[in-house]
Order: sequence, then structure tokens, then C-alpha cells
Amino acid sequence: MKKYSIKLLALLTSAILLGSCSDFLDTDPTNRVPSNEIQTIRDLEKIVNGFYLQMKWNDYYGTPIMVLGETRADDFKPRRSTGGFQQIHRYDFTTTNYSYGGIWDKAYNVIMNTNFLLTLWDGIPANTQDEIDRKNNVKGQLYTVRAFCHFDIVRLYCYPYLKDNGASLGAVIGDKVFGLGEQKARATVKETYDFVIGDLTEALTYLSSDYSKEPSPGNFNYWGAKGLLARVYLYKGDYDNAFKHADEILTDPDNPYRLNTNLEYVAAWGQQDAPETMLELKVTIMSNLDDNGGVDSWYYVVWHGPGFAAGNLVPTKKWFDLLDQDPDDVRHGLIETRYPDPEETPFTPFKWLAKFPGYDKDFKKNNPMIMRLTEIYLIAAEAALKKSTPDQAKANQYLNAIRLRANPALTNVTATEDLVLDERRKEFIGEGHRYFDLARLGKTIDRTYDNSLPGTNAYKIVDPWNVSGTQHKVILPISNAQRLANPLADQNPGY
Amino acid sequence: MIFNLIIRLKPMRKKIKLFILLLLVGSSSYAQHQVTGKVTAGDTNEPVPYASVVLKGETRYTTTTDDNGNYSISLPSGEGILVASFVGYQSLDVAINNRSIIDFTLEPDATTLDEAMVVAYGVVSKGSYSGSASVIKADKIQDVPVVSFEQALSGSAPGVTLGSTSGLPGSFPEIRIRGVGSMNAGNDPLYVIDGIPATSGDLSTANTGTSAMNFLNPSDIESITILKDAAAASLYGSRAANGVVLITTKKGRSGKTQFRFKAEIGFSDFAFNNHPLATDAEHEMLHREAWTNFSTEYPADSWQDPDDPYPSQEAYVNAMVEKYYPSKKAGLGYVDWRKKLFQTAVTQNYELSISGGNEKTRFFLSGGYNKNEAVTVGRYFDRFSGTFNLEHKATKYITMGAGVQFSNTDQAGHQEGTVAYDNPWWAALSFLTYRWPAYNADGTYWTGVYDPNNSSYRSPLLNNDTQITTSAQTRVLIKPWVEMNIIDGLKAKSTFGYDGLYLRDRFGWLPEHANGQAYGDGFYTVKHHEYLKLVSSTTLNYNKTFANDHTFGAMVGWEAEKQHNYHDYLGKVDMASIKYISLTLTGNVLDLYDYEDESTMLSFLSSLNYSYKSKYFLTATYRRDGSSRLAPDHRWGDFWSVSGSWRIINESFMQNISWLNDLRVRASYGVSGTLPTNWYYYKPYYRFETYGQGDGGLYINEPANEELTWEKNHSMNIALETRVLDRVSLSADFYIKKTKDLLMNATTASISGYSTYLRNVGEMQNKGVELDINVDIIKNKDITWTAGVNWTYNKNEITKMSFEGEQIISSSVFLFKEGYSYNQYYSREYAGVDPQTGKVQFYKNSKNADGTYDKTIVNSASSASSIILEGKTGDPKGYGGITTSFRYKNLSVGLVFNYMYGHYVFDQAQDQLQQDGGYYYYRAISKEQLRRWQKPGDITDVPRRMPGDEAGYYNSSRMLQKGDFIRLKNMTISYNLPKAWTNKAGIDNVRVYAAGNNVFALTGLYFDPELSNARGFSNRQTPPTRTISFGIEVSL
Repeated sequence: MKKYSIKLLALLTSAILLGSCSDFLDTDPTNRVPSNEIQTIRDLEKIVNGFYLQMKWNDYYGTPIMVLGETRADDFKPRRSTGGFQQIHRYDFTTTNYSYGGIWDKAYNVIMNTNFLLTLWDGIPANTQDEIDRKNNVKGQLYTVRAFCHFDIVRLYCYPYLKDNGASLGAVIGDKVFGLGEQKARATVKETYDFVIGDLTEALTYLSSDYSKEPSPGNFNYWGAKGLLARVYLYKGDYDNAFKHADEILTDPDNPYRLNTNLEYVAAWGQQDAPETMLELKVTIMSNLDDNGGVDSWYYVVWHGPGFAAGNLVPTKKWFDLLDQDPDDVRHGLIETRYPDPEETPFTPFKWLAKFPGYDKDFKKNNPMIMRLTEIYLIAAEAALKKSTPDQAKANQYLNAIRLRANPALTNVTATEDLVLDERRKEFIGEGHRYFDLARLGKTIDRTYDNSLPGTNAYKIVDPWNVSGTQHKVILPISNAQRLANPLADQNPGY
Repeated sequence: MIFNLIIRLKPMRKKIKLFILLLLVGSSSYAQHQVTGKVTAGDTNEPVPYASVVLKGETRYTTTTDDNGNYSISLPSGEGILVASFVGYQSLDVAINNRSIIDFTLEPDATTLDEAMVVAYGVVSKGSYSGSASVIKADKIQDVPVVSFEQALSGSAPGVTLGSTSGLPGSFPEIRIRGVGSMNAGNDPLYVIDGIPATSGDLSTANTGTSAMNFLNPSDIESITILKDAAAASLYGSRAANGVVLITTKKGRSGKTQFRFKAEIGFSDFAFNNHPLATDAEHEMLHREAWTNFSTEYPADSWQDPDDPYPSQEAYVNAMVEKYYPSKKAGLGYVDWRKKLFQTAVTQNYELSISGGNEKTRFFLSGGYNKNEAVTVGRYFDRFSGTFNLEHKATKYITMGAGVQFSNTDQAGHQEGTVAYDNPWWAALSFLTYRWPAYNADGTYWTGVYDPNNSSYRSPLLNNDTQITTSAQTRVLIKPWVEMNIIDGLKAKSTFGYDGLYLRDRFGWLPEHANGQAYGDGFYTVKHHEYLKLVSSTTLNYNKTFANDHTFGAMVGWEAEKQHNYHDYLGKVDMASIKYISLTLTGNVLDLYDYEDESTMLSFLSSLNYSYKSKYFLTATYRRDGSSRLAPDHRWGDFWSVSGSWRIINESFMQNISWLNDLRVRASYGVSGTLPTNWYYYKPYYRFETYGQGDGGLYINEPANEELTWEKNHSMNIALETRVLDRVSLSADFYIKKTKDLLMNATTASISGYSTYLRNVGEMQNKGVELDINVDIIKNKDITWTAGVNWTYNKNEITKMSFEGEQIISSSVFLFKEGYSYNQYYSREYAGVDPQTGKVQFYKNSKNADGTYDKTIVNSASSASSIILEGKTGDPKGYGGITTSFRYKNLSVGLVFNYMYGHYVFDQAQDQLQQDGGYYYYRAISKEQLRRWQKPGDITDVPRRMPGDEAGYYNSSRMLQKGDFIRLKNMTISYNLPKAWTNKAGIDNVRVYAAGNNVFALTGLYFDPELSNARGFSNRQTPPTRTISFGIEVSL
């Protein structure tokens, strides 16, 4: 008996010893990679892809940027009287809760990812020239994305630069990895622009190799970073630099892009990697815009088909009137008309924007379009008119290139600001530019045509620079929760 | 000992009369004193089989009585005390005094104070236990017609509440023990089955609602102990803060092999007339009234609209009524939707159990088949289950055994909540009216558009037929153990547990379903989950009584636990067939993944007991846990408790108070914990997804908090227990539970990359009182009648948030804020109806500069702000149960009522049903709308019917209702056929019974009072059902 006992005790004791091995309590799952296991340039490149992945989702470029960029302005409106789009359309923003308020957090999450990569970057070896180019390309992209996200924060949450030359409250600058619970004050708008421009200038030095000048429609390359810099200068009102960078892209013989032709134009919206695409966020069926298989996305909302949200946002009559000025404009090909269905009597015939059919004819496969060569043309045209020594010839050249692409039968015109802006309206409808164009220039948003704004006339006419009364809502508020967690960051006036 | 061992090997048959006496062979041949006798029951005068007879303090000398109540035992001497005991009777001590015949008459033990109860890592007598725990015996749950034992717990123990998640069989009930102690770390108790912490929770990944406890046949349970305070639970350390549910399965008894067969059939239906709808005629009348109101108030927008004029107001109203509530069309089939989508469900249950054994080996074997239709047509829950418990006394020193549970469940459910038309209950409740056709003339489903505003909503019959939501669970629980008596009083026990749970979930939509079409030509996903748990624990126990008065006990042990999960998923679109469904017969891959994860824990545990003369009891426990979920520096946590009790009745000065049968006080204080539910939170990880074609991206989107540690629950309990007049027992507990280092998603500056992160920052408190009173009203040979009431009051308060003044909105209508309950409602404040105009009214409630709220009345929901609705929470002011059982000869009746009062429930269904004519014109209308305002002077809370009004259906306090109810939760009537009849047939016993669950409810609500979840929120899930069942049980 005693022998049994001893044997059993020995068994139990050994089990205790086995169990108490220190690594018994160290476990990792197999569906994610511990951050201390990032070791190669290949890993770095995957992390760079991760930036774009996060930006494409339904909480950033998949929907909110587009809705905020379009429905706050005059060319897009919700078709129904309820829902989050209506809230945005009516400037119904509060400090506790509003649709798409999470974009602030999202942008900073991407910024954190860029800064985290920066801490890993130095430790990864690069030996061959190819490796050095790839490693530099990683750093160039991370600076570009960091700038890009800060630029989104400053155009959503801060007054336009030209309103007061950047004196008002800007972004909280995310220039390093911040710890959980750490606090930081907001910079001014000017300081934010300086930071963004600094990052992009830095990025261009890392993106100067031939490797970084290859087309890479899913990632920022040299051209994308330079195009973004031109856009930032345009918003800032530094037209000399805006023109310089846009013009340099358009005149550089190494530039691998060209405008989609008139014949290609409509079909190109149903394709990936069109000739003029400089950056689009890549959507695959395996990783859709959102958890609901794309049906919460901007593209579903704009697309018309069965379903509650589908077809919920449509261009306004004001915009259709602009387009209808030229019946032969190729962009009419992006419009479809729906006639009443006898079964669905409440539907009246209406026109909707069929610009985003998705590639493979699947609306769920829409790559959010971030930058295409057309924008560079129109930046160059606008900046040429406004720079310290205006260049009317270049302005005419770049504007007419876009106009004649839309309808080759047109004759050349003399470029004016209004013509450039109207061209932008026709060209970028649904791409989330309109509100920011009006805001950066302080132009009045006139929505008196719109009878879908019941009750209040407060936002029928919006002057983004003259923010009297309740019109402080032209920029978004910092949420109350953020104010509690980061009391150093002041709230926007009026909220 | 060695000497005994040698002796034991000698053959020794001569003295043995009864087979069962083999038990004590080891010492019998060396015994110097033989005692025989008979054990009878004092209340019935019947012999008591299987009663145990033990030499006090020398548990080696033990035997049990045979079928005729006779026993025989060999003792080392004629000195000492013999103790006879049997479940349900008071044990009786008799001094031997060299006698050789000793008979025992056992009195029924209504006090139950000396009953043995299963507690953490052991069994104790209730009278010596100083923790707070409730025991629920098998007979309380055996006939209740429910799938899983959890549903039978309502009302049966103080401090326990259940929230409903769905009335479908197999769904997961939310059990809360003494309130809610956690915010972001889970509030479910720990389930321990025969000493093995088992996998629990809602495992559903196919919208079926699947409780992990479904696998266990309630009839295989011997007892359930609910551990409530720290003294009771803290030996389970870092998982004990929400209480522990200890489940003990049935074991065999030595003696004649017993066969028991049970067959049961039941019928289920909704337990309540939920949300009655207006009749067809009322529907039309309410539509007519709405459009008449509208055209009277806005003629220019209605019948006098210059673009679309009507000849008269009446013509306009007729047109509108016809548009939104069209008359039935000839040739189409119309149905009563609630009858079409729901049915009286039939449930069947068959069980066979065999138990028996001899003095060395005992076994219990059972098998069961449980087949349940759901009230929703086409849905079901089926279970095959088996239990095998074996115990073998290998030598005088070594006992070993194993428990095995096996089960296979198969379940089909459907989506719940607001998922459009895939939840048949919501469809039938809110959008289907009497005038929407179900069938075409040829009998096929009519699949037109019901509501043009929501054109994807098609035939709910078709949707019900064409959604795939099934879950199959295979579970194997194997629990071998060995126990050694090393020297007298010193025992070692080693238990090993393997808990393997395999889940196969299927979800999808057939091609005819609108969602199936949206994804492609049908959508089908398969998920497999393997939850594998390994537990090993070893304890060393020492018990010794010194100088007759001082009893010491000590226990040390260790435990290691590993939970290893495997998950895979494959989603495909484009089906080959609408009948034969498999991934093989589905075309294109939509998404797929697999991964494994693991959580481990290592623990050291110990306890110390001391008692003096059965008057003073002191216990201390200590457990140290190390968890893989926390960073190495914060991984180890200490959990402990101290408790004591004073059994005043055993003091000499109490001996002369004849009316007082028992009196004792107990108190405890201790710390238990809760682990974060997230297994990997202390270091940063990169997630991966495809990006573009043939490439992928890594990103960090979850914060990592290296400082994360246990949430700690400091709990204090003081209690009094007494029994008077040998009839009335009372126990009263007062407790305070303070959760510190509360795990909460605390707000952080976004600059860190996140807006919130899990952090040990908050504090919460639950304070409460539990009362349990039981009265033996009549107890004699033929009639026994007992009744009991239990009552619990629990007050919850969040005492600290991460920032001063922080408010977090939770589930849209609750708010977390310091000084308020976890279940505090937060919404717009409804101000009723203007008696003059009939318009809906809200308080504006915007904040004034001085911090007060603007109480101006506004007529639209969008102008009103949400505020804390002071005094309105989901917390009851009291809840509990009323039980009574009555026996007359062979007939017994048992009733369990549960009740709850003082809480508010939030009826989310109102936003569809009480539109006041405002927006969803095509939908069904609640009967409540008949109380609407109609003319100036009407006093009501239902506004006028007015299309386009920004009506009262937005979330507001209008949807809050007082939730008070009392319900006959369980009822059983059973009759044992007279022995005279059954014995002729050679049958021991035949019992026939009828049982009911959710028999009736009294409440002011117009929907089931238990429809809401544990917080009080009711979200259009399938309501609870009433089951009436009939059964027969035959014992051989």
C-alpha cells in the first residue's frame, strides 16, 4: 500500500512541477502576429498595406469622408427623411453623439500605426540597393499617410486655413507613439499644415528612387505624395507651391499616368487601376468595406437597388442642372433614371448616380477613389489662375484638357475660378470633394432649392467662414468623451 | 497499516451474511465487536434502505443498510459512538456501550441544517458552514419541463435572477447572482461540474442562442449549490466574483440494482398574450382616423393639394386607407400570421437510468433523449445525453472513480432582435397586418413587397423557410479521480477533467431569400469550434479532532487549467441546389479562416478550519492564481476569505429553550476576482487582412495594456439562521459586494490611437438583503405541507468611473455614471399628451447655463434631449420565489412562484407598434393605440393619430413600463401508484405526474414580464413559452 501511495505522490508531484513550468502561462493565438515579431522588410510592407486597409473601411473612406464631403454641401442630398445621412445633411452635430463622429478616433488609430512602424523601421536590416529602396519606400509612405490623416483631421474638425490664416485650433499633432491615457493640446491650423507639409516633403525624399515612381494604385508612391502635397497647398491657399507640384507631375516625362480617354471614361469607373488612377483603396471580396458585406458603405447608399439604405443619397437638381447644360457630356453616362414600378407606388421617377458599379459589376467591390490625375489637372488649373504670377495659358490648357475629355466637341474656353470649380463639381461628384472645396474658399453653400430640410432654414444657406449663430456646426465637434479624456484639447467654439 | 493490508488479503467468507458487508472486509476479520440492527424512519415507520452507519470519528468503519433497513458492522471495540444517517433525515448518534444490537429511528430532517452540502473542493455539513450558499436538490428540478437546468432555478434560491434572451429551446439564459459586478468583464457565474470548472456561456455563432449547459440532462443532477459570498466562492479565486454554480451529478448506491425509466410528453405555447394587436376593423378605423386628422389639419398637403387634388376629403381619406391598408384581394390567401409562423410545440423526453453496486464498486448510468419543437415553425432542439459515474474502492486506502458525460445536441433557431424579417416573432409582431396576403392563388408564397419603403422585406414564410441557422454540439466530459487515505484523517485527492465541446454552426440564406440574392445565388457558412479544456487538481486534506472538542481541518492543493480553442469558418456563395446544402454544393468562396487560441491558469489553494464543541467555527481560505491573460508582472493574484460562525443553540445556556431548535450567526469577508474576457490584451498584436490582389496588410487596432490585472470583488456577508417551534426556519443574509479595479473600457485621448481601452479603473457596489423562510405547516405520516418564501433586495451603484463626471451610454438606453445603477435608464423624457391638442409632448431637457434642465414642453422627439431618468432602473426593489409542496399519502403537489417588483422594463417593440399614425404606415398597430387621444379633454398617454408627426415612437420614457409581476413558474403534481398494485407486477414504484412551466403570470404589462434580458431591456426576441407536460416514471 505504501508503495502505491509513494508512487501516486511522486506522480502528483511531478505533475505539479510540470504544471508550474513558467511557459505554461505564456500563450499566443494563431490569428495575429505579436508586434515584437516584425523582422523583415516584407513585414514592414505588410504594415504599410495595413494603413490603407484601415482607411478603406466603413468608418473612414468607406463611407464617412464621402458623406461628410458631399451631403453637407449642395450637390448631394438624402432621399429619405430619417437616418444618419439626414443628420449630416442638417448639420446635426452634438458633442455627445452624431453619425460618423468616430472618424476622429479612426484617423488617430492610423496615425498611431504609422508612428508605431516608425519605431520598428530602424531595426530592420536592408543590405542590397533593392532592399534599401523598399525600406525607404516604406518610410516615405508612412510619412505620407501620417500627413494624409492629419490633413483629414484639419479639414473636418478645424476652420479652413484661409479663414484666418491658420490662427484657429488645429489638430492634435501625432508625431510619435503616445501612451494610453497620455494627453496633448491641439496645435493651430497653421502648425498642423506646417506639420503635414513637413511630413510630405520628408516623404518625397524617401520616395525619390525609381522603385517608388512605379505606378502602385493601392499605395502612395512618389506621385501620390506629390499630388497630395499639391492638394494641401491648394487648401492652404499657397497657390505658388500648389501649382509647382501639380505642374511638375504633369510635365514630368517619368509620370506613368495619363487621363482616361473620353471613350474609356464611363467604363473606367467599373474597373480597377484605370490609367489615371493614382491612389484607390483596394477592396477585395475577401475584405469588404464593412462587416455587412458592403451594404453599409457609401457605394451601397449611392447605388440604387433593393434594400433599405440603397439609393438613399442622390445628387441634387442643382447638380443635374449643371450637368444638363451640355447634353453631350460623357458624364451623363454615369447617371441612370429609374421609372416608377407599379408595385412600388410611392417611388417617383428619379435620377441617381451610377458612377460606382464596382469592378466585376459588383457594387460591393468599389475601391474608394483617393486621387486621380484629373484632380492634378484641376489643381494646376486653379492654382495657375491664383498664383502670385498667374499663368492663364497653363490654366486654360489644364482645364480644357478635362473639359474636352468630357466632350471632345467643345471648344476651348478661357479658364476662370468658377469654371474650374464647376468642372470639379461635375468631375468629382460622389468622391467627397465638394464641401471641402466650398469651405476652403469660404464660398456660400446655397441649398435653398432643397425642400428636404423641414422645420429649420438654419442650414439652407451656409457660410463656412462666417460662423454666427448656430453655424458653428460647419466644423465637427470634439466629442465630450474626448474632452474628458484629453482636457488639454480645447473644444471648437460654439459647441 | 501494513499489518492490516496483509490481513486484508486473507480470504474471510465465514462471517459474511450479506453481500454488502464486503465493504469493511479489511478490518472485519480483526474486529473485536460486531453490531447489527435496523434503521427505520420515524415519520413513516418504514425501514430505511441505503442509510449509512458509521463509527464516529473513524470513517473507515462504515456500512449501509440493505433493502430491509438492516445493517451489520464490525468494530474494533465495543466503545465509541455509532452514527446513522440518511438524506433528508437527522443523523442519530448512539453510544455503543458494548451492545451488539442497536436499532435507529431517524427523524425527518426538516431543518436541513445538518445536511451535507457540496461546496468548493469538498463536502461539509450545513450547520458548520460559514459561507453563504443555496442548495437546490434534484427533486426541485426533476420534473420541470425545461431543456436545461438553468431555467428551473428561477424563484428557487434567493439572490439569483434569470434574464431571458429568447423563448426558443436551448437558448442562453443570463444568470445573475447578487446583481451585476462587472462592466466589461462578464457577469456570468462560474459553472463547476463534479469539481471540474466547465465551459459555459452562450456559444452561439449561428444566431441560434446556444447555452453551453444544454448538454446536461437535468435529471442527471443530484444537487446544485450556488455559492454567493467570498467565503463560499473565493476558493475559485479569479473566476468567483459572479458566484459559482456547483453541479453534482447522480452517483450510484450499493445494493440492489435500480432501474428507472421515465417518459414525458409536453406541449409548449407562448406563456403570455404578448403585445396584442388591434383587430382588422380597428386597424382600418385607426388608419381612417389618422388620414382624416391629417386632411383636416393640412388640406393643402392632402385633398386640396394643387398638384394632386381629390374631389372631397372623404375621397382622399378612402384613397389613403386603401393605399396603406389595402382591402383583401380575391384569389389571394390570407392568414393569421401568429398562427402561421408559430405553433403549439410538442416536446418529448425519455430517460433510462440504472444505478447500483456493492461495497467496492458503485455506478450510475443514464441515457436520455429529449426532443423539443420550438414555438417557431420548423425550429427545434434535440438532445441525446448520457452520464456514467463509477466509483471503486480499490483498497482500504484507495478509492477511485470517474464521471463521464456525453451529449449530442442538435438545434435550429433563427435570428432574434431587429434583424428585419428573419426574426419571425418580430415580423408577426410589428409589420404583418391582416391584409397582407400569404399565398398566391396556386398556393405558393406571395412574395410581393409588403412595405415599399423597405422593399427587401419579403414573405416572412419564405424567409422562415429559407434561412439556415443550426447548431450541433457534441460534448464529452470525463472526470477521473483518485482518493487516498494516507493515514487516518489525512486524505489526498487528485481529479482530472477533460471537457471537450465541439460545435458545428451553420448559417446562411437559400437563393430564394432576399439576403441570399444580395450575396449571390444563396449564401452558406459553416463554423466549427472546438473548446477543449483540461483541468488537473490535487488536494491534500487533513481532519482531526483533539480532546473531543477541538476539530481542525486543513487543505492544500494545486490546480492547473488549460482552455484551448480551435475555430474555423468557411463562407461560400452560389448554391447548386436549394435542397441539398453543403459547402461542396456551394460555389465561390466568400471568406474563410481558422485559428487557435489558449488561456491557461495555474493555482495554489489552501484552507484552514477550526471548530470548538460544534459551537464556534472558523474558516480561512487562500488561493493564488496565475493567468495567461495578464502580463507576467501582473499575472499572479491573491484571493482569500475569512469566515466564522457561532452556533448559539449549542451553548449550555440555550439548552432549556424548548421552542428554539436552532440559532446561529455567521459572518464572512473576502476577496475574489474576475479575469478580463479578452485573452490577449497585455501585448500589442498585428491583425492581418487581404489588401488588393494577392497581398495583405498588418495593422494594430486593439490597445494593449500591460498593467491590466484582475478585477477584485471585496465581499462581506453577515447572516442569521434560526429554526423555531420545530416548524419555522429562517435565514437572513446581509451583504456588501464592492468591485474594485473594475475592468472598464475607459476613455483615453485618441492620440494614443484608441478612444477607449480596458483598464482597472472603476468601482461598483452591490448591497443587499436575502431572506429565506420555510414553514412546515403540517407534518405527519399521511400529510406533509411545507411552504417557503424567499426575497432578495439588491442595490447596485457605480461608485467610480475613469474620469470625474464621465458618462457612457450603454445599449442606447442605459447610462453608466458615478452614483447611478448599472441599469440606470437614459432617454428622452416623455411628458404625455396635451389634453387640448392631442400632440405628443416631451420635456426639452437641454442643459441650462446653471446646470439645471430646461423643462419646456416640446412636441417633437428631435427637439428633446436624453437625460438620466431618475429613479427608473432595470433593478427590482425586490424579487424572489414562493414555494410550497404538499403531500397526501401518495399524492404530492409542488408549486414555485417567482416574482419581481419595482423595476422598469424598456419595451423596444413599441417603436414599431405605437407609431401614432406617424411613420411606418404599412405596419401592424398595437391594441394600445385604442387608448389614443381623440378629442380635446381626453386624458391619455397615447397621442392623436397624425401622419408625419414626429411622433412618440422615438426612444423615450414612454417605452418604460413598470415590470412588476408574479408568476407560477413551475408546478408539478405527482402520484405514486399504491405499492400493493405495483408490487404484484414486480415493480418497485410507478409515479405519474403532470408538470407545468410558466403556467400563468399576473402583471400590468401587455407582454411577457420575463421577455426582457437581465437588465430590463426587451428587444423583440421570441417570448418565453409555457410548457405543460405529462410523464410516467417506473422504477424496478
